[in-house]
Parts: sequence; structure tokens; C-alpha cells
Amino acid sequence: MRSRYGSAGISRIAYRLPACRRALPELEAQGRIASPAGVLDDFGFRSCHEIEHHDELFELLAGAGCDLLQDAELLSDDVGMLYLVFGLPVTRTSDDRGLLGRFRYPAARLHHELGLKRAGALAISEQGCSGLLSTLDMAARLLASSESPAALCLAGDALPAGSPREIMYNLMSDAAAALLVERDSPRNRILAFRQQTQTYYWDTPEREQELLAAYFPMAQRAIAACLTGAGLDVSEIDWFVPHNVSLRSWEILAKLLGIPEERVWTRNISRIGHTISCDHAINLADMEREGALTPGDRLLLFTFGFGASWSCMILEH
Amino acid sequence: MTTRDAILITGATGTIGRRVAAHLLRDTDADVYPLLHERGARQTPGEVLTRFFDLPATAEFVARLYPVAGDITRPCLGLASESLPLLHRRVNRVLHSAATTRFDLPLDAARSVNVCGTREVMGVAGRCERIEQVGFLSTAYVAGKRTGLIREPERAHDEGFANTYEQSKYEAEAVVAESGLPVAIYRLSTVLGDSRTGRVAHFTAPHQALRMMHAGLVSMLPGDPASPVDLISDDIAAEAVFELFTHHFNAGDVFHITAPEDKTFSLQESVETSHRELAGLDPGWARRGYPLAAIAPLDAFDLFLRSAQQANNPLMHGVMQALSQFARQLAYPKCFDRSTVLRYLPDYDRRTPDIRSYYGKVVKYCLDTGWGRHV
Repeated sequence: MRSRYGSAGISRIAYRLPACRRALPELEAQGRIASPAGVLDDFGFRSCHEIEHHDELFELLAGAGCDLLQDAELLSDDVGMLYLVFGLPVTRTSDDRGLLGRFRYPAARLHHELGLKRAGALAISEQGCSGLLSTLDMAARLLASSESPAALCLAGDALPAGSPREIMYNLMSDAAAALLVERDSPRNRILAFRQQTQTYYWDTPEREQELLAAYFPMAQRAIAACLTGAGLDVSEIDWFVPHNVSLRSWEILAKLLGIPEERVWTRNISRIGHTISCDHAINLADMEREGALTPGDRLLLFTFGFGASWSCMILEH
Repeated sequence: MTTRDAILITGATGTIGRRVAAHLLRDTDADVYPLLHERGARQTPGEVLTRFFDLPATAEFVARLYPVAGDITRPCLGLASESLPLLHRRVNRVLHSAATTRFDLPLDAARSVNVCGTREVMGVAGRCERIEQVGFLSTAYVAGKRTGLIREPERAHDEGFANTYEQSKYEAEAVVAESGLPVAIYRLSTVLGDSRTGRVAHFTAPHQALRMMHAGLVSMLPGDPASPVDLISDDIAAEAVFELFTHHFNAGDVFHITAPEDKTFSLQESVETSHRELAGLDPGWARRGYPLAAIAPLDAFDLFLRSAQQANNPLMHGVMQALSQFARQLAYPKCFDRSTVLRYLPDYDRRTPDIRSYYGKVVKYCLDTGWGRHV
């Protein structure tokens, strides 16, 4: 199948989770979930991971990047661009270094830490959970016109330490992931990407109920558009790789799409929960590790990001 | 109809009842006895004519109009001691159109109006010395969860019901059938509004669904995209009831006063047209870019409904629950045979306006009046 991305795809993935793991009853006792633990349990969640200090997210990002580069045995010169994705908007507070303190960029710091030499560094934010798929799309398209064979995508999010861990009936985890996008990828070739953006919903707290109502019809629309873009029927998809929002929402979406629930790989929803920008990376890595994937499998990745955008990417493993 | 006909009509201020009453006054020479709640009955006949029946208070109409205070949920319709013998002596025709058309009532509450009320009406009719005919307004959806072609003479089934309205009207039909009176049943489809003006007399479930759509809160509707959504206009429904009741009465007949298949929407078309009409009439709404509601299998719809309840989200649960009462029926696609209607009214299909010709007017009326808040 010809793709606008040529043979570009995701060749390697690594991820890291914080060591601190908290179960629903503990979070409920701490008053850090809005819904009763029993309801979140019914929705498929069990526990989440959270960072314990502010700089831990950086350590996780650097660690995931390091793992990936070592594993890939890449020359750092082969990486033409570093993309850093945050689902949560990055807010900087001034420190005792005054205004200059605001110009301390995590992307540049990670670039330096990973010893990348020729790569540019770019951070992407304000797409919520859609950020990673948008970045993969951008990276793969830019590789086609670049001399470099690969781009490194780092994604990570952490809620403020000690903050509530539930967002709109989803249990949230902190995490970081690294993905290598190669122009000639031996696996996970990108076949299509579609994003449906509806910025009326930009004010999430104000439009929460309307957003809940829009979620499923927009998901259906984004997935249908991506399937059309890939020239595939939904029955030709081997695995639906979810973002780890509630299992219940995937059960509803599966019924809406007319697909068997067994084709949605949902194991990490209970184990990890929803990590904002890293879910697909973590799930793809674990699917491969557990032997769920075979070469040629068609994988449909779907997510929704506040802002609001509904995104879908189809890969060929 | 003879000059001495005297017609008792219940539900005379309802969507269909008021129109049929107006027809009876305008197009026959019968005396009309509308059963009105206490407050309505305190008005003069002239006020009743102008307020409820859109008729001028002419001497002729006033002379033939005898408002009666009563309530179908009370024994003997709660008629005053002087009214009851008068009705028993004079009335020779009864048209029972009073009902609760709410889909969300507990079954007991729906039964108390639609079943027990019907029993009381049949009781009064049975004691009318000159009784010749009784008409009963029912719903085509006594067919409940049956699917496929529904024939007019069929009633009994064990498929269940999508809401308590359907079930209570089904049970009311049994009361009517067992009354031993000369009864014809007029099973109406969902009446939407006036095909000429778009005016809505009573905002019911489909109008509320449109309202929720306008608020951007309709996520999904159950059913098959190709399922018919049977909607008819108030005017054609009332006209058909009037003509069948006055000119073609035959005890035992059952009529499906429903829409010809090519003059109503499919579910998909209904959703798309609603969206398009709202967008055309309200550009601010269009800019929001609300998606079309998904048309979902019933199990997906029910799981979403249950999740909203579990999540203790009262707004979303309320919306889904309200939609559920009305839209659940869409998951049981059916079409209605109209052979008996067409036998007496061969041009019924031709006269019935296409929903596409007036749906926009109804949507506009809903928007202009804020779904009845600014009337």
C-alpha cells in the first residue's frame, strides 16, 4: 500500500514510568479522585504512577531517550530533529535568575543531555493527548524532505505533585516515552493520519458537558476519515491501540464502530491509566514485548486531545 | 351527521383534540361538549372558542358549544351532578383524545391517566342513552418493540414497550375493546406541528430532542440510520381523525394515521436535517461546529446512559434518559400499514404534507419561542 509517508514509521520505542504507584483506595483515602473508587474501578482503572519531585519528569524523559538511543545503536548524527511533546501546557515561573530564567527550555536541555549533535530541537504543546500523534505525523513528513534518516520524539507529562489524579472520569498517570521515527522504518510504517479539530471546545471547564457529548461522534468521524485516507475498511484493522482513557469509553466506542472489543488492546488501562501524551507509545511497546503483534498487522491508534482535537493514525507493523 | 348530534370530546385542549373540536364546530352542525379542566370550564364559550379552538365567538358557534368541567382521572370524569344526567341524555358520540403523552412517567402514573381515565370515559359513554359511536385516539406505537410491517387490526403482542406511554395506551386499547361499545381507534404517529405555520401546540419528546441537540448535548441516538422516523403534522392528523370519525365511522375499525414512507425521514436524514436547519437559522450555533449525533446500536446507547448515571453526571444522565424515552423506539424499526385509512380516504397519502416541506418551519418555531418559553 502506497503512503504519503513513504516507508517512514516508528522503528523503536522506549518508555519510563515513575516508581511511585498508587492504587485507587489510597487515592480515594487521600481525597485525590472526584469519583468513588468503585466507579473508576468499574471504568477499568486500578492504579496510577506519579512523580515524587518536580525534576523527575525530566529524568524520565532523558532516561527514555537514553534507553532508546542505546537500544537503537544509532549514531547521534543520524538524528536530524528532536521533538519534545507535552500534553499539558508548559508554564514557567520566574526564578531567582529573573526574566532569563524563563528561557530555560526542556527541549534544549534534553538535546544536550542526550548528546545530540546535528539535530534541531523543537517543543510542541497545547494539543493535549493528541500531541504525540500530531508530532509523529509532522516528523514523518519532514523526514521525506530531510537529509537525516531519523527523528527522535520525546513525550512526557506529569501532573503537579500531590494534585488530584482524575480528569473527566479518567485516572491519570505520569510518564515519559521516546519514539524513533525513521525514513525507512522496518516496522510501524505510517499509512495515514487524520485529525479533526473543533476549537469551540477550547474552554474545557466551561464546555465539559458539550465535550462529553461530542466525544463519540467526533471519534467516529476521525476514525472513519483516517480509514478512508488509508483506503481501509474497519474490518481490516488488526488492533485498535487505545489512549488509556476509561475501558468503558472503549467498550462504547467499539460498539459504535461495530468492532469486537477483543481487538482493542486495553491491558494498560488498569495497570497504568491515562498518561496524557504517552499512552500509544507505552501500549505499542508492551504489545510488541508481549508478542501481540505480527509483521503486517494494521494498527489503528486513536486519541482525543483537549483543545480540542480527535486524532487517528494507522500503522502497518 | 344529524342536527341533533351531540359530541363529548375529551382532551379538547390537546394538540389534536382542539383541532378536531374546531372542525366539528366549523364543518358540522353538531353540538360540542368539550370536557375541560375546572379553570378552562370557567371561561365563557366565547373565550373557549377563541382561546382553544382559534374560532370566532359567533352566535352560532357559541350556541353549539357546551363546555363541561371534568377530569378523566376522577370517577365519572368528576362531572358535576347536574352535568352527568344531561350528558347521558344528550350525547350520542364520544371522542376520547385526553391522555398524558409524556414518555417518562412511571408506569403507574401513565396508567392512572391513560388506562383508568379511559375506563372512566368508557363508563360515561356506556351510560349515554343515545350512544352511537365512540372514537379513541391512540398511538401507532402500541406496537411497542415490534419491528417490520404493523397492520392496523393487530394489537396483542408480547414484544414489550419502549416507554410507559406506549404500554399505557396499549392497555387502554384493551379497555376500549372490552367496553362493548361501538368504538373506532385512531392510532396516531408522532405529531410534530402545524405544516403551514410550524406552530407547535405541545412540545413533546421530539421537540425536546431537538432542544438538546441545539444545546450540543446529544451524543448519540439509538437505531439504524435507515430506520423510518414516523412524523406527521397536527393539521393532517386532526383532519383525518375528523373525517374518519364524522363521515366514515365503522365500529371496530382501527386506523394508522401515520406518514407515507416517502414523506417522512429516515433516522439519518432526521439527524442531518435537524442539524442543517438549526445551522441555517442560528449562525452562532453553526459556528460552534457541534458534530452530528452518532447513530448507535442500542447496546452502545444504553452503556453510555448507564455510564452517565454511574459517573453521577446529572446533566448528561438527564439528557440521555430523556432521549432514551423517545429515541429507544427508533431501535425497533417498523412501518405502518394504512389500508383502512386509505379505504376511506383514498387521497390521504397525497394530502399528507412531506415532512421536508415543513420541518424547517417547526424548527424555526422552536427556536423563535425558545421551545415554548416565549409564547
